[in-house]
Amino acid sequence: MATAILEIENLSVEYHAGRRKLPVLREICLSVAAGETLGIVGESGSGKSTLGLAVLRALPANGRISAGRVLLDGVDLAQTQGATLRRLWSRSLRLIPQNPLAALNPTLKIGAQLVEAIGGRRDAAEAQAAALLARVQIADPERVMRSYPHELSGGMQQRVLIAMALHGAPRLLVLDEPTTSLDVTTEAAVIDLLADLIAERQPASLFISHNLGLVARIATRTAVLYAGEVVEIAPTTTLFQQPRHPYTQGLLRSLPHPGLRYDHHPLQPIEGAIPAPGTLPAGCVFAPRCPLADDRCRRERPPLLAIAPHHATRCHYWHRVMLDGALPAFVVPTTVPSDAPLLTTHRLSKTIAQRQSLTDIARGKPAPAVQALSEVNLTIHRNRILGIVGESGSGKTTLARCIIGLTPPSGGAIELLDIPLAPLIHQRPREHVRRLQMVLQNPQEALNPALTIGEALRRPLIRLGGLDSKTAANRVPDLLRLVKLPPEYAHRRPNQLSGGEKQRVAIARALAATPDLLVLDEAVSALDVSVQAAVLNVLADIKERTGIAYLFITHDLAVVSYLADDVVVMYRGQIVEQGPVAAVLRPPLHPYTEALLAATNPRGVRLREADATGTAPAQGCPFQPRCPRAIGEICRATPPPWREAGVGHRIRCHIPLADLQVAQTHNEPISSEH
Amino acid sequence: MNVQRLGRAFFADPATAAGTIIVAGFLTLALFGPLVAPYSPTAQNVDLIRQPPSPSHLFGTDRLGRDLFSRIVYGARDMLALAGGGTALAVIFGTLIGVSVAYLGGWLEELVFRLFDGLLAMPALLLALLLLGAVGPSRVSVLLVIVVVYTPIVARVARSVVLTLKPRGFIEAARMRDERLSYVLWRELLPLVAPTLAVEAALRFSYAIFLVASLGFLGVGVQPPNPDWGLMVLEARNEFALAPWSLYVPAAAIALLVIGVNLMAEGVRRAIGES
Repeated sequence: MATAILEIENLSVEYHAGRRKLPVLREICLSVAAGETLGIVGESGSGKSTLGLAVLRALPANGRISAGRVLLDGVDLAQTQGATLRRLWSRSLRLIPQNPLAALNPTLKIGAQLVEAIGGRRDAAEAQAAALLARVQIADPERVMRSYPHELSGGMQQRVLIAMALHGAPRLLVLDEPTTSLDVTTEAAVIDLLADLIAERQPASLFISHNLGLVARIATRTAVLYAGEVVEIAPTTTLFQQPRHPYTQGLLRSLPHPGLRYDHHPLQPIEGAIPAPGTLPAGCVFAPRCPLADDRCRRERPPLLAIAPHHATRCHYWHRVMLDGALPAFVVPTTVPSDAPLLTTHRLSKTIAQRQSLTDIARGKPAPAVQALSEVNLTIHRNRILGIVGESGSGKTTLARCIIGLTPPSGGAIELLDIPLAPLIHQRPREHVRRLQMVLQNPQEALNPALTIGEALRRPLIRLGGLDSKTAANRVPDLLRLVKLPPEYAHRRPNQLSGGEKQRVAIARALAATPDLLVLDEAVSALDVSVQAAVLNVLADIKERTGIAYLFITHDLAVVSYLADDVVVMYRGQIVEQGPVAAVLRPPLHPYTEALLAATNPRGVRLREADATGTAPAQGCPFQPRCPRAIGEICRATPPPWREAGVGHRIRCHIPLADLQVAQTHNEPISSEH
Repeated sequence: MNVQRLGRAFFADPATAAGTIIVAGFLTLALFGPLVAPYSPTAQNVDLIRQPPSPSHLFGTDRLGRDLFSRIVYGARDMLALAGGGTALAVIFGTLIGVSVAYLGGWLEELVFRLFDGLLAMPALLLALLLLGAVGPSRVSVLLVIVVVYTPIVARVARSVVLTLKPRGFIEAARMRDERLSYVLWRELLPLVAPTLAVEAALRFSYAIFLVASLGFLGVGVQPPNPDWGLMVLEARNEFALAPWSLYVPAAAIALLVIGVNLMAEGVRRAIGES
């Protein structure tokens, strides 16, 4: 390893909350060489963002470095003050934050913000800004310089911030979840770009993320943070193949792996929750959740032991930690449902009219409209899980809201057991409302903070189940047990629950009146992996026991291949491919499905970013402008036909099926690996 | 937030505690007025006109020989009943209208709140004068004026909170079970609007005190010989040179009560904001 330019020695950070001092980082020791990327992973509450802010000396006012040193090129940042610190900030220290729109000033044009960051003479800075934008693969730097932040797509905004962070000669680069707010396809391109630029400019980089798969793609070494301590640090491949800390092992077991299904290889979530700052256990911080813990662990805090070159772990019993050998890839049988459909949509369409300027109204122009759904036909069967995947803007959520009746469709029909559904929920009979329920994405907003968990769960039983309030109250413990929560939770309020627990209550509430179909709109996306694994297991378990159908909307293909029986791939409001999950994903046929899968592969194909204006071509294939396999004029001019690719497997593409199959067998196998 | 914590919020720091004590003091005066006041508020004594403060007349007497302390004590009753009652009614109506109309939305919301915006475009005192000109001065019309002037303001505050709550998941969840309107409004939304409204109520109360006093001073509110503080300022104004205390005393009472209510409201707002 080259000599380290960033050395963090025994760094401890504490936050002041009123009169209390809460330690959030304890004795962190890390070193990073020039051009090296160190991954920092951990669940929310592990202190990973605080670590990034502390080394940049950008802690909030109530946080301070209580001990330790942060040496950058031999200078201790922890002791640096005033003008020296400001000079370091402007020349050497850089941050790429999670939310690019919040990091850019909405009132200034991109060019002005870049010029200010670069400094120096104005014309020179402008030329440099344009060159930087070109370097981060922005096609039209001149136009982008004249744009305001909100006029750019999320991926473009993040590229601008990357340009801003990489001017001059940065020495330390902190990337705090830089791609979390982006679509997978954009994320893939941004990660490639970052890896490239770090190699070129040679800063020491800290890549902070909750996403293990992402860290594996960019970081040469990775540190696992838990409750403010580094519990394990190793070269990334070693960490993933031979974890020597039970927490790392738990995180890896919580991830869905390609080819493994819920009914044969259930995920193994980590029980319990990360301890809150100020309530750290006496011995090993992980002991309360650790399957290997004994009295020694609860008593005696393990040191960070070097167990191999570059590999250290904070566990007394590291030699007992084993990852199950290579997991056998289980071939998913392509099953076709035999019984009658539960719910079908026929040519379901939704156009959303946009606001129009007064002058356009006066000129009698028709209001511009976005085609959110275009002639969507799909079928959901009992006891099956239908996954819907696609980027943001693909119409996944609009589809869910039309089915539930929160948004009226503009065309087409939805039938429940062959009976047409009224467009809006309050026009539907109580029985139809009961049969269709939905769980939303954000667990923090799912429950009313003013109501106890018991009250929240009683209400659907009374309203939709037709129970009186006493009988409903008696059913609440059963509902809590269904989602693996203790019955005492009925008396708690939402602010006493963690995010994962809230989402389980939201699932219990949706299931209370025994619906036939549960729509899950990115219902596990906001959760930490270990918590997500637990919720996925609960969902699989409920489906096995009750025969309920799920419509599972997600951007995460690994989750779809773990859980779903069938999958629908959507692009710009249209279905481009649908069929049994094994047929659609292994190998992918449609170029868009292929690109989605390839996004998690370091060597996969990359899509150009979608145009921020959001208008698809009027005729032809909607995916054509970004399609890496487009075959010419026909794609631009003619809407692609549906082709049957197998039993229940349909694909919408001009390219002959045989050619698509050949393309896949000659490529490297593409899989959603982590 | 539970009752104990709310109780503590009233004494969270010295300024808040001072405000609470001032308000509680005036409340006590109002409630036990006849026991505290040594004289009748309207009893005239021609032998003792314009007496400066003395042990027998704590705050002195006015030009008719009425005991100013007794008039302040009885005036506190009127003031707190009118300002308090008016504020309470305005908060109730404002909440009912604000929460329900904001949740329902659509053209009804546009209509109601544009109307309210129109009302609010006029200065409160001008609106009050117009209304009193129409219905004639009396205690009931002062109460009515406070309700009309402050209901739109409370409704707007309630609306702003409801608009932030409406897109949240738990309200969507209620829609997904086709929930009864009354349940959504009063069980789901109201408890979350209540803390903000409590702060707004305290603020409105202090403005209402000022409004009642202003109307009295302008001679269109509570009528003589009632011991209204604003009216007392008006009557004392002409003989400031002869009996300055008869002006200082009611003016100080108004200022003290308004300051007390504001200090208390500010403390409670901070406490709610932190929780």
